[in-house]
Amino acid sequence: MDVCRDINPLVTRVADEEATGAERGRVEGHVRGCAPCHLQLHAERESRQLVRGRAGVLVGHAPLGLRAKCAAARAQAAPTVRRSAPLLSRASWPMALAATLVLAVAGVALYGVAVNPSKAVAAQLTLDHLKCFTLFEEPAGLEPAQVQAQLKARHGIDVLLPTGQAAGGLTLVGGRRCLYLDGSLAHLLYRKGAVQVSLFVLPTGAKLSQTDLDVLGHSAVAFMNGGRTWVTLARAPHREVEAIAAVFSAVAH
Amino acid sequence: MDPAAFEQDALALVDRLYAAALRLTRNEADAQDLVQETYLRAFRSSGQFEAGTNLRGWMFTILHNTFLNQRRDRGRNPIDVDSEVVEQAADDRDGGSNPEEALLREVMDADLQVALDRLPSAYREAVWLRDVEQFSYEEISSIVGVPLGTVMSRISRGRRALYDDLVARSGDYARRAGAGGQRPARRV
Repeated sequence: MDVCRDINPLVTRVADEEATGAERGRVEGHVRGCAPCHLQLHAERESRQLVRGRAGVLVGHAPLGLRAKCAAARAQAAPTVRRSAPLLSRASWPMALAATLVLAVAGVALYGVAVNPSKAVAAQLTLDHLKCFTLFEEPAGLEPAQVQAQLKARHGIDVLLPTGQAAGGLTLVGGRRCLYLDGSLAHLLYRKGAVQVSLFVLPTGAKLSQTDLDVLGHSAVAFMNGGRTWVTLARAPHREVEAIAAVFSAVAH
Repeated sequence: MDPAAFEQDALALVDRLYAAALRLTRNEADAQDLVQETYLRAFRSSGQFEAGTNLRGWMFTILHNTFLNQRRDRGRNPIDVDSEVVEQAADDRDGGSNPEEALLREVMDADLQVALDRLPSAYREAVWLRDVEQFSYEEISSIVGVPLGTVMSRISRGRRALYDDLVARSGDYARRAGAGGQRPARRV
């Protein structure tokens, strides 16, 4: 019979179900006659099962603010961001938004967190709004048709954006796509005078329980169009954002 | 690797890195600092990362090394948790104890977190990387920078210490409940 010293290194592998048949046989043979090693194997299996079974709860979610800080670390690490890159040439999309959708769509409630999911989404959209205008705005403006074509051709997102007078004074200055949720989440950046306006197109099936939200000094207005939820967001009075949302709602699909 | 793709993939790990940081630091503010610093270092070193290799392992390695550096900077010696004293302490256990299995299975999530936090740092990290993150032994060896045998030993002792702690606490609750007492307040 093996002595405990020889068996100990194998116990963890057996508990992890990674031992070979021969190793498992040695351990099982040994523990039948050795109470301490039997308990060690039992304890390892129990702990392993317990921790793995609760892994989802143990991981939980990072605070919303931390996501933004980590995203900002990118800029801090490489301060010379290419602002003249062509629209949609970057594959990067606001991961913080993706994380928010994890919170909202997958459900914060699963973790018992007393957070309004719609408000959590709006908060994260606000952080993405701030980040994207800082990093990705194309001040010269962009052609909506070009953005539409690229979104459709490259990412399968079929949207119609307002142009000309229908745009109500809104200028398209950026467009990005989030790869989360099958890559069907779009973020469009507009300007209306000095006001930065974001239009988020959520993936099909993603909905907000609240359509009017005020968070972090920004107003957000959600509407349904073409089977998708659209969210207009800006640092402006809620009524003003509602009016902008009405422009999008009338045209965009 | 395309910097944008790297950013996206790296930021997708924030929940997992934060959870690991919480277990390492046992303090929300320190955990946030640690994760932020980890990302800063990762982005600065992103050119060294090879596309197609293990980004998750790479990020956890940076997290681990950043944690050690921060501890050193704050005057805490990380070696203390790896000492022979700690390694041997786990062997000073009663091999004949009677586990209260039913109670163990009903361990509250919060109690499990507390019990994990009570583990010596080296054990806690090994158990976390193995059972929560489900890294292979070899990956953990690379992340933590210790030999494979040490990884196995830490996982083994960490799991055992966790089990003993939870069983002891469960038995304590049961005895108190049986005596009409209240469950003790959770240690934070």
